[in-house]
Amino acid sequence: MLKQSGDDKDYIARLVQHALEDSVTKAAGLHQLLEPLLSWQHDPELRRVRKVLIGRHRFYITGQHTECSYTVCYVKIHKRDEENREEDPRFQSQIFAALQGKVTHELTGQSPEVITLPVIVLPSELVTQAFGQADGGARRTLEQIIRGEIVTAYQANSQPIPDARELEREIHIRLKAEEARYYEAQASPD
Amino acid sequence: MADETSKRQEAAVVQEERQLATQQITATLAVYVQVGHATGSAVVLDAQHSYLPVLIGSDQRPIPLYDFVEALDSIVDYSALQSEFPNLSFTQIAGAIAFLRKLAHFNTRGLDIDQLEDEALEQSAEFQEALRRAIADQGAARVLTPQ
Repeated sequence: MLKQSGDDKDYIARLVQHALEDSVTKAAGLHQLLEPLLSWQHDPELRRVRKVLIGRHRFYITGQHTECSYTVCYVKIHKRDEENREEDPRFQSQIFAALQGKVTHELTGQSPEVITLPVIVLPSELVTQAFGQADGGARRTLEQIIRGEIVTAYQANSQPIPDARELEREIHIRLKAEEARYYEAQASPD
Repeated sequence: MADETSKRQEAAVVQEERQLATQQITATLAVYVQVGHATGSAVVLDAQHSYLPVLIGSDQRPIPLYDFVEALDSIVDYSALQSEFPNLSFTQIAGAIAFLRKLAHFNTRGLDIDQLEDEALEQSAEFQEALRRAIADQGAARVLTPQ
C-alpha cells in the first residue's frame, strides 16, 4: 500500500530500527513511541493495538517489547493527489472549522455549523493608550469593541451567542494577543 | 444551607481553575507570538484559527505548522541525522520530531488535533472490524488496506 502510494521511503526500515532499539528487558525503542488508544481500553481485542505516527501516516501495531515481537496490523495512509493537494480537502477544513469555534458534528460526516470569527482591527491609538499608558478606560473600550465584533459575527450568522464565560474567555485571549503584539512591536519598531 | 455553601465553594473552585487555565493559555500564546515575531513572522498566529500556528501559502490558504512538521518527518533521513548526532537513537530522533509536532498543535481552544484527526477513523465499526481481522490473522505478517 505504501509502495502503491509512492511514499514507502524508509518507513518500514524506520519501524524495524525502532523495534531493534527495544529489548526484552528494556523499552527504549518502538515501545516508547507507541501510543495506546484510550477509547479502546474496554475492548479485549483492540486494547492490544497501539499507534505510532511516522510522517503523515498512522501505523497501528500490536505486540510488546517483552514478547520480542511487533506486528503492523493497519496503516492509515495520508494520500495526496497528483497536484500534491490533500486528497480530501474536507478533512482539513473540518479541523479549521473546529478551531473557528463550532465543534458540533465535525467528524461525523455532517456539515458543521461554522462561524468565522472576525479579524478585528483595533485603533492603534487606543491600543497604545491601553497597553503603553496602562489606561484602564482605553482597555475597557478595547474589550467593548472586541465583544461587539464577536457578538455581531454570531448574530450575522443567526447563531446563539456563547455564554458569558466563553465570551469573556475569547475577549481575554484576543486582548492578551493584542497586548503581546504591542510589546513586540515596541521592542522591534521596524 | 450547607448544601448551598458547598455548591458555592465548588463553583468558586471551578471558576478559579478556569481562570488559571486561561492565564496559562494566554501566557503560552504570548510566547508563541514572541517567537513568531522573532523568527520573521513566517509562522502566523491568527485569532480566526484560535491561534494555531500556520504558514500562509501563495494561494492564501493556511498550512498548519504541524502538517509541515509531519512532512519534514517524512522527508528527513534519520541515518543522516544520526551521523550528526551519533549518540542519539532513532527513537530519540523520532521523539524530538514528535515533540516539535505537538508544540505546533497549540491553539487557544484547547482542541486535541490528533483526536480530531483520528477520532472518525478509530471509532468507525468498519475500521475496528478490519483491525480485529488483522489481529486474528496472527500467522501472516502483512499490511491491510482500507479497501
